[in-house]
Amino acid sequence: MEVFRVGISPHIRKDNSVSGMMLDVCVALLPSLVWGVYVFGLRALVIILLSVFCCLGFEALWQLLMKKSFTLSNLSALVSGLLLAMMLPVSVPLWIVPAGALVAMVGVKGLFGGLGKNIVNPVVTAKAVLFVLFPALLTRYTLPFVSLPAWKIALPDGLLAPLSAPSTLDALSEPASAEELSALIAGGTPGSIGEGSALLLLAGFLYLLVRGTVTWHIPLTYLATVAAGAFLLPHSGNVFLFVLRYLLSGGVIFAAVFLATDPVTGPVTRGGKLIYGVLCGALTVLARRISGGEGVLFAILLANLSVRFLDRVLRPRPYGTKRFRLRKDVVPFPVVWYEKIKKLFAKPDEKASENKLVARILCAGGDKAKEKCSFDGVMDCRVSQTLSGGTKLCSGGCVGLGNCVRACPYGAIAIREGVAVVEPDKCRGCGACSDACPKNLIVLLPADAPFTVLCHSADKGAETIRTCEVGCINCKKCEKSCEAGAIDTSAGFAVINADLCTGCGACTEVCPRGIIRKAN
Amino acid sequence: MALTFRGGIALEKSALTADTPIKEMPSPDSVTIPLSGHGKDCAKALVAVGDRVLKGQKIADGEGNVAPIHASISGTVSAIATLPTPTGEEECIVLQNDFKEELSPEVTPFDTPISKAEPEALIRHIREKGIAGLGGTGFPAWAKLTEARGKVTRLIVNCAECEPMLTGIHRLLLEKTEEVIGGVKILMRAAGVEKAIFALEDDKEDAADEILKLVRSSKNFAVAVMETKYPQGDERLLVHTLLRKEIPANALPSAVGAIVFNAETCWAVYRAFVSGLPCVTRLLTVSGDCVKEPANLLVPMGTSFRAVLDFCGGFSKMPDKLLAGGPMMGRALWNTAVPVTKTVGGILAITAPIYKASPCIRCGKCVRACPMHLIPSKLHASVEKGDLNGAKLYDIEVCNECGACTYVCPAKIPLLQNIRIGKELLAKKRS
Repeated sequence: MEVFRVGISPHIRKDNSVSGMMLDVCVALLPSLVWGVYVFGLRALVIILLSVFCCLGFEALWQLLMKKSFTLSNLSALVSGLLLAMMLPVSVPLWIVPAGALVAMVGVKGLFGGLGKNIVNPVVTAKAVLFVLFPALLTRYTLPFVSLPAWKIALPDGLLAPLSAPSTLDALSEPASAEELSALIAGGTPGSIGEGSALLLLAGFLYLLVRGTVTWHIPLTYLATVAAGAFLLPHSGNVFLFVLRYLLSGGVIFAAVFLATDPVTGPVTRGGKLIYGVLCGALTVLARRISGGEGVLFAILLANLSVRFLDRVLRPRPYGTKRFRLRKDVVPFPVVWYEKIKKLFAKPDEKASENKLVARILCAGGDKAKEKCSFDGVMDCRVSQTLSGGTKLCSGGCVGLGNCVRACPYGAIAIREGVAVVEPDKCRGCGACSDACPKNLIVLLPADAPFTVLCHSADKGAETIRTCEVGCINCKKCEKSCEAGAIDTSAGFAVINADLCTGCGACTEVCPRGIIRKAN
Repeated sequence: MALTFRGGIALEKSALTADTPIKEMPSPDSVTIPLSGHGKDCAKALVAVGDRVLKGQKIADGEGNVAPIHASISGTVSAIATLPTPTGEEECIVLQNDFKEELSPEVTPFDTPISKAEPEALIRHIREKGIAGLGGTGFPAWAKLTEARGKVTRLIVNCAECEPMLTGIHRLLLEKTEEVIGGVKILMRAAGVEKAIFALEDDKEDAADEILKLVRSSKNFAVAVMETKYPQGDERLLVHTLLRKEIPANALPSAVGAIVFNAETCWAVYRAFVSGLPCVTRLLTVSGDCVKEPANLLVPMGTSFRAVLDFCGGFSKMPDKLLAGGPMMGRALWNTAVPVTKTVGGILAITAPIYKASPCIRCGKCVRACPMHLIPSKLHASVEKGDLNGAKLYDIEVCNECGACTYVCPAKIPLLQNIRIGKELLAKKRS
């Protein structure tokens, strides 16, 4: 028999992937990484590899502890590792790296709930935290092309003193010179490992643009805003050189291309992206003005917090609608919140009835019932029922995708061996499962009903034998055996009337399918 | 500036049958003809089991948005029962072929020259011949014309065929150009419009040239070649691309002065007037990597998918999915024993890998792909949480279910599926 797969359209997908996008970012970072190792020596490579190892390691450890499935293959931890390393000066003690990785992978990503759930950029937060805790360690910039001990964990100040150089930010107030600028563009100035060469970073940006992994909106508006802000600042010397040096210092280009474009913490809408870029730019200029040093980190963190708001206010205008319209069809937010709060304080519904009702699922097929097709997509019984009448050959069989399980507020239903099963002790007879079932297979019966026929299929007996190992074949043996006359087989399957049933069990002994079962 | 709309996606068309001429499929042993109309309206059978029917004879009709249904073969009514169709289970009339191909006396050409006929008479004839939208909606053409008369100034001939793998319209425009244009002229008179636009995508330049050859001299016809983008064939986007107007939510194209007809529907109209044959055959493309001999076929209505696939050599390997329609909006079937109906434009047998969904990384590709300018990831998240109010706020009801968002999502999230679940739950709440 031909078995096809049924699912909701579309039936084809583009052959892209999250790991593919992450790989694109790694490729874009590669030139800057190689250059960083070239300028700052072997220690830089050690830091990079250590960072990658720690980020991957902490993510795996967190997922192990939280009993979640491993997702290292989506390469997002790899990207975080590379970015973190690139933001550190080569002189940092090596233990800074795992500390930063811990903050990024566990403190931000893990605690927020994993990939896609964090509101603030993990690596930006990591460096910001390290900066606040160890400001001196994170700003010991050294001269380029000087090799530092690669494996020494902590470099003493004495060793670094003759090699230290001011950060590019310190020289901002001096007039800029052309040689300085060419050094900044090509790379080879004191600074963090990967933020040095503007040329290589912009090459990476072009690669990401061509691949479609980032769009121009955030980086260009960010840089344009920083340039505009710099233009308006007091300066000495030529204004254009000043603006150019302002842009090339302090990792602004790195932030614009690789940090602000982090998809998880950035806006999804076009308008949101444009304003986010402007916001990042303005905050960078402001933060630098106030602190005279690192502005980028705190600018991005603050901008991250505004993203949800930006997306809501600047969402695109749907086709066929007016930009400003009165939404009479939608419940206003204050009412929604009020209802939610009310629900929190409401007492749970206690339906204490004398004849306690318990839900029973009139099917015991599941894996014992043959399939006519397989199903793909959102695991929803109603969808499967609409598309193909479920996946079983038997027309009455339980679909087994769990709508009832999700509807039950007491956790009294579970899917076992492909079919839903009720735990009578937990069931309160509320009937939510019964409403959720698209095949109307769940009925509420008195808790003391001793036996039930777990089949609801009106298919003819010969067909049921073909399609299910346990379904009722309407042989009527149970009806004949019942002395209380409690069994009726006129519907095409046997039904036991709970009021008449004496619980003698004669029917269970004669049923050839074993489909008459006790309540538990 | 390319003629296009904002949003949408570029798809790999993989048209295996773009150069395959249309073949006529021989009459099958039996046909199963569903009686449904459009939406909730249904036709009622006018024949009984055991009756002999002739080809082109009306066998069902009804009230409301229903186009009459005709026999596609001559033979005997063997059953009237609820049977599986591509859209579910419906009441159907099953005819056994007597292979005499006897035409019903009802099959007569339209008696008046078109230019002298009253538009109402044209619309009545269009109704009698059972013409419904053959592009996939199945909406009765007479109902569309009646609603739009007096309101519209432009007739748009939808030749976009934006779904991958389907090439029926492409071949139709190359092989039967004059007949399609003839049908367009009839519809123009019926709708009371003076100007028509043939709208094609730029992967059908050869068809555009064929049409231009015949209409170049007339100032009432225009040929618009649009950028090939999915879903350009959606009538809302078509109207936006060509006329730069947006159809308001819950309104029809007539609200902005346009009436849209699929190219094959125009051809069916032509044949209904010139030969009097009602809508009893249709074009469809049989394609996919699992079909032995992909083809563009002219198939009698009600032929089973099994028969059509066998005519194309059967499966070269077992497909993962069997689709009625295109791969983006078609319906996946579990059974080949369903009939070809007025809404089936393609039969595809494809291999389709199973993708595992991973969390949303908010990359925004779905937002860029959405032609209705919605935020699909947000709609999906709202429905998953059960927040239907939030989904409504973000205009889930504007979604045209094209599937572009789900196609581009790198995390393979079933966006459209949850959006459709949300729309159905909201529709249920309203009723």
